[in-house]
Amino acid sequence: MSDILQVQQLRTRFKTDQGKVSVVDGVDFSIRQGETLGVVGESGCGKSMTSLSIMRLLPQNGSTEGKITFEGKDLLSLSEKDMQKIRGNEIAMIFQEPMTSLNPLHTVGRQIEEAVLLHRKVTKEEAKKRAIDMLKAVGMPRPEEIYGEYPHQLSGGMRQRVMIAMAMACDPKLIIADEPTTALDVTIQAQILELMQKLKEQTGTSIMLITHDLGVVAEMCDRVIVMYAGQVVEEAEINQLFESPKHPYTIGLMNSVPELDEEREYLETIPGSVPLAHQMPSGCRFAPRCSKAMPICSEKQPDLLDLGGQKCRCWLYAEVNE
Amino acid sequence: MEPLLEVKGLQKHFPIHSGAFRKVVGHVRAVDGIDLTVYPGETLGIVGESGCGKSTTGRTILRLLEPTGGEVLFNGQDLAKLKKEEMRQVRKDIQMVFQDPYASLNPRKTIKQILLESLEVHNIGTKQERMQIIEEIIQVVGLQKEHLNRHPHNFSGGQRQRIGIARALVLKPKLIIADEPVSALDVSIQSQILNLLKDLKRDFNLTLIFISHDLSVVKHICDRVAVMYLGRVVEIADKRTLFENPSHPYTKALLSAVPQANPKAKRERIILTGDLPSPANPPSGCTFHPRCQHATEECKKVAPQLQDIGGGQLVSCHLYKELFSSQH
Repeated sequence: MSDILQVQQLRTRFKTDQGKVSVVDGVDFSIRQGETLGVVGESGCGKSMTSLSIMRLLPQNGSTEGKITFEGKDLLSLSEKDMQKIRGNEIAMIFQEPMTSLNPLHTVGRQIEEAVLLHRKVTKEEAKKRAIDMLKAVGMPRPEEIYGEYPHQLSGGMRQRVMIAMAMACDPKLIIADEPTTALDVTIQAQILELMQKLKEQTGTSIMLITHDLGVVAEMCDRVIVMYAGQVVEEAEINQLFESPKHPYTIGLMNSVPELDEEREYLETIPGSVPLAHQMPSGCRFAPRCSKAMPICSEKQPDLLDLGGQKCRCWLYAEVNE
Repeated sequence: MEPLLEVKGLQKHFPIHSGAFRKVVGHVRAVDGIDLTVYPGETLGIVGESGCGKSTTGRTILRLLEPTGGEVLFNGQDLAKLKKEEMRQVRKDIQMVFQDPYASLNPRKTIKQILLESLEVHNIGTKQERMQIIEEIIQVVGLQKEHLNRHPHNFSGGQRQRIGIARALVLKPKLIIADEPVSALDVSIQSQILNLLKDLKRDFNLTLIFISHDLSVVKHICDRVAVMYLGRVVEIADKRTLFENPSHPYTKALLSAVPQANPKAKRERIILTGDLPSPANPPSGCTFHPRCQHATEECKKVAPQLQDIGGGQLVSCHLYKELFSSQH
């Protein structure tokens, strides 16, 4: 299947008091048509900044280099006007915090309609009908009434459904979901994940799912990239990743999460913490925390090596490839 | 074994005020009559979703919130009836670890001041002895003596939570109530703190009440688990029984909702419909009945009581017999 989105050598930098700091550093990946790509990593790994770079929604002091190709168009060279035609229309976004990302002053209906009115040649009535249809599609009870209600009248799970309705309103080809269920309780999370899965099957949309939860990844994704300190350290098909994770960080991450279906006295830990953006180690960025680190690891940065379908940025696999 | 802590019929209702004269128009029944027993040396987990009253329970036991009703028996004393000064003395034996390591440490104080404070308040030891205690504790939680002169902002989230744990430990308490101690942390840091808690439990023979929404974490660290729903305990059992043989329909749904990090695992998922009802206006009868797929007429009218179904497993459900037998 063809790629809907290609990201090549993406570099995102911020001007700060400490000088220019890069938070995304040479990220490559692609998303195929109809695929759910998981982006996994802990706070500060650059996963959210990658998505904001794609949407060109970075804060003022941020700048982006590299190439982002969406359906043949280079997003980084588009004018702001052309970008607006894509944003919310062909690429839509679902954010983590439905309370802060919905406008408290507008009704739910008006917020869903907004994108439809902007991107489609429709009358107000048609837009309203579309909004109510979307509310139905995301499983909202009494959609006609909720259309006129405000976000504060809804629960967290309902608000997240509204966010999904907004994102789906223009039939986007790609949805970027940034921790869409992190703020929700498990039973509500189960509802939302099921809904996203169902909508994806119906519409064939591609999804870029950003999360820190490996359980959510296992359930939702076809392929996964693991990010650490602004770089992709591993890329694999979902079964490959869970059956034979390659990068020491991925392995550490998996072993540090307690699981419901197994009993362990101690959890594996990854010592230390993520390096700060302005104090990146010169070699492999994971080396200071890695139990398998060799002399070369702190000297030279490893490339993202292709290990036959699975990719891994680690010196341990370097000889195999050469 | 004598229980260390016995909670009987604990209630905490928050008044809802309305109108110009702030008249009380109703109550949020955050905790609505719960019974818990904690034995020395064990870790009791309290799990539930947001708004189920698990944090309020922890705070009410310590009387950071005044209970509306019920008894909290600790070492034979009813904490709910103690005077303020007497309660202050008891707090030496019951300490708390909070969720947010950023908000729960005073940013203006050094770690030394933070740790010394509780020793000074309770008049423990001489100046030198106090320093000795905190120098020892800071190493126990995996930090160094040199860290004592720094301020909280110099530390990462995981390190701050270590400091929070050190603060709870300096008084050598008999019971620690940890309210979502790892929820704000990244997974690789979370596992460091969980291992630390396990070590401390073993080395200091700690008794712990571990409040969390994360079932995998609770399973990892607890000996017994209480499941709360809308201000009540719906099931309580030792860990193995609860996770292998959950008997309350809510516990079952909760367990089935946790995503597993195994793409090939195909499990039957019970998707609960609807949201948590408001604790200001809880449903009649069994408060879970509007979301329960097994609910009967009886469930709508009569509130079930926690009953022992054998092996120390307590369940609050009218239907446990039918549901239980269908399982075996």
